[in-house]
Amino acid sequence: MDNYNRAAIGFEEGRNSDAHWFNDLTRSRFAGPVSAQHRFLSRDVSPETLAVHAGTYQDPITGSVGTPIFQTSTFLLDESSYAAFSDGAIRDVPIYTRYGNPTQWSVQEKIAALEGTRSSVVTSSGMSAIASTIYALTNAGSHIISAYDVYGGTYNLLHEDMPSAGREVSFVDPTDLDAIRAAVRPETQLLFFETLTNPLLKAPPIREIARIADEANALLVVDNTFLTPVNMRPLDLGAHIVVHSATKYLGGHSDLTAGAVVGRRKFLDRIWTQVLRFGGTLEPLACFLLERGLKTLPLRIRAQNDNAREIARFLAGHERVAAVHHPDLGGDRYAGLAREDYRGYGGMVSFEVRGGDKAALDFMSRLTIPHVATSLGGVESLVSMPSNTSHSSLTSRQRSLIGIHPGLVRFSAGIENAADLIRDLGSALDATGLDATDEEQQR
Amino acid sequence: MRNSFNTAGFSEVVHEIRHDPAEAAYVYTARAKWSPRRGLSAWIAPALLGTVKSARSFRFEVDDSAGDDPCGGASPMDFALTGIGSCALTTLVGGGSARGVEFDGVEMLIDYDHPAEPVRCRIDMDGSADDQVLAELVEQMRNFSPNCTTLTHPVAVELVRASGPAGQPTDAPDTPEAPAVPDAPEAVAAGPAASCRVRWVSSTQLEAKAVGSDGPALRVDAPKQLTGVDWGPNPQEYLLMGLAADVAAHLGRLSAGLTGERHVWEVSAQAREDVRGLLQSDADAVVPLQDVICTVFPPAKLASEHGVGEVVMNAFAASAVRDLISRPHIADISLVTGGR
Repeated sequence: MDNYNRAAIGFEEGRNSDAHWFNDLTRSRFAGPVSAQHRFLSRDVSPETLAVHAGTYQDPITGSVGTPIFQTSTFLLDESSYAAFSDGAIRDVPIYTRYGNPTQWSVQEKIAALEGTRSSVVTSSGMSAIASTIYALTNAGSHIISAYDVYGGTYNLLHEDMPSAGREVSFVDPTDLDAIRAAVRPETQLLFFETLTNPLLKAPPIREIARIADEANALLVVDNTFLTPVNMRPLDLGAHIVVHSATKYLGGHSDLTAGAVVGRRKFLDRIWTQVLRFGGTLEPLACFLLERGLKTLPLRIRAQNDNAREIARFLAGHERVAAVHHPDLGGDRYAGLAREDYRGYGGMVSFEVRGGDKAALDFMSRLTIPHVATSLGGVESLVSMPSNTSHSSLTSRQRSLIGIHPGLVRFSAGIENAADLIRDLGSALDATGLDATDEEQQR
Repeated sequence: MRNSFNTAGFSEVVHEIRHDPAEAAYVYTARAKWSPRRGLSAWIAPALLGTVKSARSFRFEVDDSAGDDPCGGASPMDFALTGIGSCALTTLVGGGSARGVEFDGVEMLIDYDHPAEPVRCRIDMDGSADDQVLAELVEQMRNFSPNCTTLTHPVAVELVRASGPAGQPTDAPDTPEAPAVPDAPEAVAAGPAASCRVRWVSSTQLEAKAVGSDGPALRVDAPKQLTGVDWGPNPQEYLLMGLAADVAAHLGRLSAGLTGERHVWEVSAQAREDVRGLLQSDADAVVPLQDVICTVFPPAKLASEHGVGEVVMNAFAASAVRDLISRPHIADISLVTGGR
């Protein structure tokens, strides 16, 4: 252990026992934490290369090519550990896995590199990432602006927990800039939006929202789960923090539950301490799975972008489909879309099956390739209905108000062959059309 | 963390503002209201710490400095002394933590008797360092504490009279002619003497209590954006609450004398701090508060009342807290070590 510096790069330079005042303090962390054993790549390198190599722990003893799983809850204490406690810098020395672990540092560095920034924190779920971020970046007495159709877990946190925590929340249409601007108050501290909404794939103009946030001296937090850094890097557009449910595309294999927060270390250290207090640390094996999944992220996203686009086009021409929601199809909803800010639109397609929810259920039961399951972003296609899953707590009228009409299906395209998926979708729709009588009855 | 003080976090702030001086400009705002029915109250508005906003929720009932409506709480001068004493002790403990000193206890008894008298500050301190180091820390506190230096240096306080009441549409603020701010301390309404005991608790947390008061202690803390935990307003916010509340109380009293009726007056006090001065990340940076603005929102009923402008200027001139900020005072600082 003595031969290798396991502390984060910059930790030793930040130790100074000769300080006589604040100006003599030498700690100036702006990145990481990463140790000398973690592979650090310039953010100018392509996403494909960053995905494979950034953050990999190059074990000096064994020479292992992949990051080892440091499946330990605690680490030997040494002088660095004690110095870290003394200075309040325990994030920068492996001491206890809830605080930090080299396997965590690997995946955190990879995610930070892909989002084009300096630091990140991985958490036990996407909601852990979101809750920790919102609590860490707001104070009692503050005001938050978000969308009335954000992910249900986020909405519940904002609607059911924030008032008792002294934060007020205004919910607006995320694509209505005037409404967002009108909601700003002197005490507005945080704006929280998604790069694509669930399930209707609304595309809030992130660059313009970031301008509103700056004018209000507020922070913009963006949930980039649906697009991933392969399709959009919100920090480049002016957002201050990006959060992910890493359970979805980042992990990509439907085999783990995780979250991630990405941004400047100034903010990330505060979010990290909140994660510690909430107990939301991601354990080492899940870190390993997430890092392994990320290595193929650009390849998977490319395939999923293509598949979703092809499926959306196919569905738009099918007589049993009343409406399709996907940015590539254009239309009024996407008339003002800043297409230059996107490198793709992800693997999600939502569409309305004629005949309502009963027909949609019938349609899903006839599919042979996709699994009928909630979640999204895995290599396998998944299909579900918002009305009986994520949005089941809403009344029919509430669902209708936000645009979730009877028969709405959410399709998460995997990386299977697009022709196979389309053939399967077509067969199921055609069969549904023969059996369903709901639409006639509704008329 | 030494003394629970996050020296790593403060070190990062030092280096951040060396890279980006805009991050060193902190703007604090406090407000106060004098109401015929609800008495005198004060609260803080969101602060801007460089480019990061800190919105917090703290509101207090305040004892009217004119003595009309005692509520058993702290007076405007108690708030001001709390702001000065807690800033001094936070600076002292923070600076000591940076050089590795461990403190067992730090307290300050801060006394204000009369505008003409020095403000007496007696510090009792126990710690791991020898007396020479502790004396050096007190000297650094005297030079680099923003509120301490605001007490001892001339700091301009601008008076602005808004054209309408707070919370209502208003025209551009109307700044009256330069108010007749007295140079001589005798011209300031002396008000009751005040004495506060300020005690360091941990990290950036302190407690202050007016001597002889049965009211609850005032909690002091930094916002969590600056390594605090939002336990209470910070020292600058206390000083500004004292200013706003003192001016509001004088406004209520003087306008009642003018019209025979009691009206609601609201006052906002804002100031900027260049934190490079405290941290000495730039030796040329100004240490005391700057751009101190006291904005008065007159009651709608008095908008056209003759003599209201004079009431505003007289209230401003009579404020002992305003005097504490704008005119240089002698700070009589004494240090007692190891004998608490």
